[in-house]
Amino acid sequence: MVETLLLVKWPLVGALVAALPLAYYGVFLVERRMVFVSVSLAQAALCGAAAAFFFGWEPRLAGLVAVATVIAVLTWRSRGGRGALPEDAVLGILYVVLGALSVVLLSKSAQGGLDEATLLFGSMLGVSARDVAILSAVVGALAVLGGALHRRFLAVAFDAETCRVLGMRVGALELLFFSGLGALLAVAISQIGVLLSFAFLVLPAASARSLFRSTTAVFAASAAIGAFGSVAGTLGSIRWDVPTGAAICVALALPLPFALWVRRH
Amino acid sequence: MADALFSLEGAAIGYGRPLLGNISLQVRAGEYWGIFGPNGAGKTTLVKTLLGALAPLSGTLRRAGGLRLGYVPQLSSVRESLPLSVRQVVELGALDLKGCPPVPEVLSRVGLHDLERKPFGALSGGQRQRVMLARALHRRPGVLVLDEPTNGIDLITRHALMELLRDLNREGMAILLVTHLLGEIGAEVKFFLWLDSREGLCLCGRRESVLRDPRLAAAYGAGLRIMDVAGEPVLTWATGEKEADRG
Repeated sequence: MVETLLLVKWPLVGALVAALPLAYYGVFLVERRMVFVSVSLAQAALCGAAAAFFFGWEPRLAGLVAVATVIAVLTWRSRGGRGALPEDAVLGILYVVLGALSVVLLSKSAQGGLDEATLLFGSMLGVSARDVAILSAVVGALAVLGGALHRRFLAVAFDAETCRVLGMRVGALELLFFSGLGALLAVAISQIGVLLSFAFLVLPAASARSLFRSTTAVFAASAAIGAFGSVAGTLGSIRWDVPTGAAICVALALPLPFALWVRRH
Repeated sequence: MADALFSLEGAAIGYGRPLLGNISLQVRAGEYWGIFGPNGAGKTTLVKTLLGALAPLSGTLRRAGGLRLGYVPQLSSVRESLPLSVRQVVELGALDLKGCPPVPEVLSRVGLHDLERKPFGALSGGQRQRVMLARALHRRPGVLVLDEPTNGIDLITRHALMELLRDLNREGMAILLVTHLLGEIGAEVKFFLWLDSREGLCLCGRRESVLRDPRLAAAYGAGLRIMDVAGEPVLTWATGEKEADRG
C-alpha cells in the first residue's frame, strides 16, 4: 500500500494543491450563481491545450491565452449591456463549441489517442513534480491576490451596485477575480481535466454552504471537503482499481446528501 | 448659502440614449430631498448619475471634494445568501475608511444592537433594510442616499425608518430619499425632484413650488389632487384616473 501511495505521491499532491484554491473560488461562484462561467473557462483552457497539442505549442500557455480570450469576450459583453443573446445561452454556446473544437483538434493531433475519460478527468497518474511545482507557483500567486483582495471580492459579491456607487473599481476587481480563476484552470486542466475542475469548484462549496452560515466556516469547510475528496478519491482508486479522477469526483459528492439533510433539519 | 454637495447643470441622463434631459439641481449640506416618480421614471438612473456611478450624457456634474457618501440600495440588488454576519455586512460598507463609528454603535442606532453576530440571510426584510442603513451610517456620511428603502417592509418598520431619517436630517445629514410612494414624502422633506420620463417631467426645487407647479396638473389631469393641510400642500393620487402605479 505504502509503495502504491508513493507511486501516486505527485498526483495526490497535485490534486490537493488544485483542490484548495478551486474550493475557494467555488464558494463565490456557487453563491453568485456563476458556475457556468467557470465550466466555460475550464472548457476554454482545455481547447487551448488541445490547440497546443495540434500546433506543437506549450499547453498551459495556450490554455491561458484561450481563457484570457473568453474572459475578454465576456467582459466586453457585460460592459456593452444587454446583448442579442442571454448570458447563459452565450456560456452554453461557448461550452459546446469549445468542447467540440477540443475533440476535433485532439483527434487530429499527435495525441490523437486521447480518450473521452482523459478529456474529462485529465491524466492524473502522469502528474510530475514539475507539474506540481508550476501549479504551486500559480496557487501561491493567487493566495497573495486573494489575501489582499478577499474583503473586496466579498463586498462586490454581496452588493456590486453599492461598491460601484462608492467608487470601488468593480470592473477591475471582477477582471482580477476571473483572471485568477482562469490562470488556475489553465494550469490545472491538463492534470485534472474539465469535469474534475468543475467538481472541485461546485461540490465542496455546495456542501459547505449547506452545513455552515459563517463566512470563515464555509470557506474552511469547502477547502476541507476538497482535500478530503482528493485523498479519499485517490486512495479509493488504488483500493478498487478505478480511474483516479472519477473516484475523486465521487468522493467530493459524498458529503453532499448529508449536508443537504443537515440544512433541511 | 452653503456650497453644493452635488450639482448637476443642464444634464441629460440615461444609458446610451437620453432618458431625461436638461436637469439642473443643487444639493446642499443638511437638505432633505425627496426624489419622486412612478416606476421607470428615471429615479435610479438620476441617483447613479448624481453619485458618479454613471456619467451624464451631457451637461456637468460637480461633487464637493472629500464628500463621504452613504448609500442604501434596493434590497433586491443585494446577494443575501452570501454567508455574511450582520457585523461583516456593516464592515464591508467602509473598507479602507478611517474614523468610522464602531459597528455596535451604528447597529444600536438602527435598533439591531443584539443581532451583530446573526447571519444576514436569516433576518427579516425589515431587519435587512436596517442593516443596510447601518452599513451606510458606518461610513459617517455627509449625505445619505436611499433608493426605495421601504420596498417590501412592513408599516411599523417603515414608520420607524422614516423617523430615523428625520432625526439624522435634524442632526445635519443631507438626505436624498428616492421613492415611488407619495405618502413617504412627508413635511420634513423640504426639497422635491419630480421625475417622469414618460411625461417629460423634471420639476425641481422647494417642496411647495414643485407641488403647486401647474405642469403637474397638466401632466396628470384630475388624478392628482393637491390639498392644503395646516398650510402645507399634500398630494394624493386618485387611482383609476390614469395609472394605478403612480403612487
